[in-house]
Amino acid sequence: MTVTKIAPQDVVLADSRIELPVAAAQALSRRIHLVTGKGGVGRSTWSAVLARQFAARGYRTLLAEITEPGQAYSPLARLWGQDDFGVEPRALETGIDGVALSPRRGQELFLSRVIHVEALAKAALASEAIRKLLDVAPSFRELGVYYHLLTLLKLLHINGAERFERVVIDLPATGHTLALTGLPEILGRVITRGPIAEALREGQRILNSESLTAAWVIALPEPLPVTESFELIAGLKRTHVPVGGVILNRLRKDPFNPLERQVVEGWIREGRSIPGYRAAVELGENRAALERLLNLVKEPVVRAPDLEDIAREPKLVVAELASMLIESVTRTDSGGVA
Amino acid sequence: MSASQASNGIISDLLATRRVIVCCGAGGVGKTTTAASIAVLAARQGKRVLVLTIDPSKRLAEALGVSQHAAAPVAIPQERAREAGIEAAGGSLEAWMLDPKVVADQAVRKIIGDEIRAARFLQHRIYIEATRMIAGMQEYTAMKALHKYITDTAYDLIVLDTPPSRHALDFLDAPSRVAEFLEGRIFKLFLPSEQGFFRRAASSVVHKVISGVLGEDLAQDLEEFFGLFSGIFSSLNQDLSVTRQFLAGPQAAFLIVTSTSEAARTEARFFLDRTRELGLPVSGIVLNRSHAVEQVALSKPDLAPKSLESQVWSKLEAFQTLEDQRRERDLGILAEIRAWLGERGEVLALPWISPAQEGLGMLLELARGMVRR
Repeated sequence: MTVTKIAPQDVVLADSRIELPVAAAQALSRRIHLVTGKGGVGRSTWSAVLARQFAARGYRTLLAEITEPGQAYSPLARLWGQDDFGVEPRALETGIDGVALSPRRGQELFLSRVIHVEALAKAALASEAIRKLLDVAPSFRELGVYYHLLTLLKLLHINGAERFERVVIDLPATGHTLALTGLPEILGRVITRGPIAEALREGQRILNSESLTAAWVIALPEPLPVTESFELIAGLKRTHVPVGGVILNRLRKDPFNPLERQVVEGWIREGRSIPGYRAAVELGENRAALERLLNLVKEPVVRAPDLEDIAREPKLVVAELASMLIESVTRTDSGGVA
Repeated sequence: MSASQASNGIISDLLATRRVIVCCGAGGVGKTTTAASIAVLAARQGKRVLVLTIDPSKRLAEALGVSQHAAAPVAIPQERAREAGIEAAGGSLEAWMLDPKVVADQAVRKIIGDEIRAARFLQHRIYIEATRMIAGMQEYTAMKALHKYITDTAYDLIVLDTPPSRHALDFLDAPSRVAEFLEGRIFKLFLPSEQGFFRRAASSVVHKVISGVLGEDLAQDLEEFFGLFSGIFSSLNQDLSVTRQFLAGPQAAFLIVTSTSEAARTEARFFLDRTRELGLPVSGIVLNRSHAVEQVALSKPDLAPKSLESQVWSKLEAFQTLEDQRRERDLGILAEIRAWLGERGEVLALPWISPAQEGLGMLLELARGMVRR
């Protein structure tokens, strides 16, 4: 496939709205959304924004993060003033339940399902050796998370439909994300039969489905995060997870027209002392990163504005971005903007 | 300003008194760059320095001119050592970007000794799969590599850049989870050779569960794996506890790196509390990419009114207004972080480095910023 090269003059930095390509808006109609990206790029923020947007459009939404409750700091739960999510879905606000996908809970669910002799299941769960094995043996933690997720996906609503129509999962940093999405393949090489193999295949059917799942790579308009997002997309593809798009977060507004920009860039090159030097340099960096990303990836690139100077409080940032996203989705749905 | 004079001295103080400096914090705050700059600074003072990093950062590898997948620490090329003023100072700088599999293989070979047994172990399919899995292995590898260098005198200073991790303390916890599991008492349950009624009864329950869940093939492989592994458990365990003790002692220091973002700061705070609970010595917090370090003041040049240049200049002045607001805000953040630490540590705000500065130049500039004033 040939990619049209993006020329610098076509790079438009964000205004105070979210640019949502049609393909990305379409991917938002899938059921499961995996949110990933390097630390510090706004992964939790965007997990919350997606969940808000789904809930606002009337979907029963589950917002999940991967953690053992009480064991780590949860920036996501903090958005709702909680220390962490529980292992059972709990309402955060209208239309959104929060849950911690817990390795331990998943292992428990799994063991009690596959070991039919109840006494044996209990003995197993009570056994320190089994506990420790599940904690440290390679992949068993991921397996627990995986199984916990599968169980939640199957929950039914009182009306017989799916209890959660949209599921947003805040995935940990790159390495751990690929450990999870690559689990069926890695573990499948070791375990070829039995209930684990079945669960993995079932999970694979869902998470690798173009109609059910979309992974979103969150990135910042800086050289390193752009490179990493490119690598992350390649990794996700290797593990056969469909990529919904890249969400380029915190783009600064560009007040310069092309002529003015030439002047600024010239001054910076000459090493001249100018006011707002850092902001000007960073703006150039933003542009270069966006241009590079657009040329590097085939996936749709969602562009979101930097709200740093408007809202600092994470809660406000989420609220602001969510309402912008809802606006963009509505605009795209009605065929307004391509 | 006396406060900033004191805080700019923290890195120098640590370099004078510690053998290991551990840089930790949330992902994306500039941990690796900070660790590398500290290493450059120390080497410029004539120390023999090793920087250990788990994050396979291409940019850092390029900056230092070393390979990403080496089996052992690599000295930075001579011309770079000269350029950075390391050669003149009589210091040395080596870097090792750890590959978890390489470190694990080395550990196995060293502990098993017998080459044929080691080879059999290294080819065991469970072992191969285990080392491919990222979670846990990185953390374990970091502790293992650190152990090697705190027990010899090849380096005056080791700077450890901790693995990128959602759970900031995983690199301390994950190895101890492994270590706990490796305690003979527990793993013996898996060993087919163990005698005694209760052991065997327990072992048979475990076996039934494991083979029921994992399938008979894997259960057998696991037993074989644990059998092979038996000799090396206690040795691994010991190494880990030596490393932990060292890290809690007077020759080690922890630096928490954070950016100004609320998420990074909250995580830094969480990390600070946890390390204190664990009795680990947090010496300071490094605030990265803030606007808190003052920029050079400048005067307006003569520009023709209504010219393109003067138009651009006024837009840049609006940028400056924003920058000033950001500086105000970041000074507040700096004060807040200083209050967390109280008398027990110092805060250092690093200067902003233009992205045009890359490679060794960037590290040098940051290193200078660590001791400026």
